[in-house]
Amino acid sequence: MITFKDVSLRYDRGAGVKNINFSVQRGEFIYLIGPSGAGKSTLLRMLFMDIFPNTGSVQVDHFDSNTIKRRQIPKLRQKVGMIFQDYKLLDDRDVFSNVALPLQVIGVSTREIERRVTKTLEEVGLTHRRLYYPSELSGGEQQRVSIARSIAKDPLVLLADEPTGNLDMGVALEILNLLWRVNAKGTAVIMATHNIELIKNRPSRTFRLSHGEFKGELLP
Amino acid sequence: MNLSFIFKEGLSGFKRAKFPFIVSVVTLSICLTLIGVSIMIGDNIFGYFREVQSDFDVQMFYNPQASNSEQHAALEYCNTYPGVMTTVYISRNEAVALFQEEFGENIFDILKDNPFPASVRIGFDRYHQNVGYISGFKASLEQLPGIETVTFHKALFLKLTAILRVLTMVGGAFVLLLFIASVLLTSNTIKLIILARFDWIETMRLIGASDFTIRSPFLLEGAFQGILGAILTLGAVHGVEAGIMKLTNLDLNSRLMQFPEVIILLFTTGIILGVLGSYRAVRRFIYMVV
Ligand SMILES: Nc1ncnc2c1ncn2[C@@H]1O[C@H](COP(=O)(O)OP(=O)(O)OP(=O)(O)O)[C@@H](O)[C@H]1O
Ligand SMILES: [Mg+2]
Repeated sequence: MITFKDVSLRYDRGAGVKNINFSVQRGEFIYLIGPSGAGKSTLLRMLFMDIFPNTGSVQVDHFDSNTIKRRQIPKLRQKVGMIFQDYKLLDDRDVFSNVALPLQVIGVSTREIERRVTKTLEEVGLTHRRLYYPSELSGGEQQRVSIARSIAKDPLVLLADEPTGNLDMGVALEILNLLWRVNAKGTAVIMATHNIELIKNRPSRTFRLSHGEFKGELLP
Repeated sequence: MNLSFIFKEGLSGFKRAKFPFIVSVVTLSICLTLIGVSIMIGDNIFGYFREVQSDFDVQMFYNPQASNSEQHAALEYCNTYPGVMTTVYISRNEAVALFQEEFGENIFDILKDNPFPASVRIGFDRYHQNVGYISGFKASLEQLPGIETVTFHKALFLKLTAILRVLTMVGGAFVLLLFIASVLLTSNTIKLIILARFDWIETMRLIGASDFTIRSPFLLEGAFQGILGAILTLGAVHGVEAGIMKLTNLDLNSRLMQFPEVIILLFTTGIILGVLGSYRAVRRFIYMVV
């Protein structure tokens, strides 16, 4: 479902990633670890087709980084959820509307939105917060909203860049467990993190990166 | 389609950036006023020259022996001729008065009898003001019974036509420049709105919104600003007119906003300015957000 083939990317100022090769199947749970600057975010952004490799190709489902057209990128992003350390919620609307956003954008009917958002909020355990604004929520709760928003459309894969970076260990573990529940429903998850202690709780296939290079993978 | 979503986002956009929104509306209103005033001044200058020119369209002089019915038939001929806009009958007595007005002398101090024949001044509408057409008309008039002479000051007419053409071009270019300046100006203030909504654009791209979905609310907001700018201009003009009337005790006989065309033009221009300004701002900005 996801393939990196001889991927290299150089930023204007240097650094980036070199010669990356790996593939990920449907429904897998992958950790991406490595020190700061290793290139984890760079790989995730390429999967999201936010940036493109200089050489090699990135394939996601039937999209290929070398042939995708600009107007197809939204289509790709409707199949690829992405969450970040800083949640990126809209603070001018409540939890319900934040989660509804990706559905509204593709013109899903109000009734169907109501049904799906309600179900998704239940899955992330935020039913009681549906009318709260992001600023009224804890960090852990905000990350749950962000996860809910990214899975409301049943994506093929959920990309998580440092999703627990701003959370303490207890809350981080709750978020990790939630990601595993999402995974159990069939969505592949690729999570970049520094937090080795955290992922020891939930071992899985792990890719190691350093200085932009692939340093092999660890199996649980 | 997600039109209702686009609509809602567009109309609620100003909540997120109230100050830039107000700045944009005021900017639009100032631009509209400037454009409106220039068109008004230009139109008046044009009208003045056009009036002068119509004096030099065609004048036909009746034969003193022309019968009533001949005079009538000639006048009718002019009135139904395609392109004729005005016909002004000048009787022999009126001609005497006009002479006095122009030369300050009473003709009866010089001559015993009134030497002036009755005449008709004929003006053409702007689509038929060309020398060939008018010359043809003149020739056909000269064939009519009861007509002594027909005058047409070709050289003067041509000179005035040239002046009018230059005026139209200069005025048009000026208004066009003003319009472009307005688009640039509004697009710069609209950029402030887009900056204030950076997070919104970022999130929209994150969730897979198309460029169209991201852009449209801003264009809609631009249209909305154009409408508000037009209303503001309307209010300002009303205020100024009321002020003039109060101060000078003058009754302005033609109030600008009495004309539905003016109001429609005001709103249309406002909307076009707002949308173009937004389009330019969004187009240059949206690609920068990652
Ligand atoms: N937009 C950019 N422009 C230039 N260089 C960049 C850019 N983004 C990242 N880099 C560089 O590319 C390399 C990889 O960065 P990346 O953000 O992928 O690392 P990371 O593994 O996500 O690090 P962290 O754990 O700190 O988030 C780094 O050397 C970084 O300085
Ligand atoms: Mg990173």
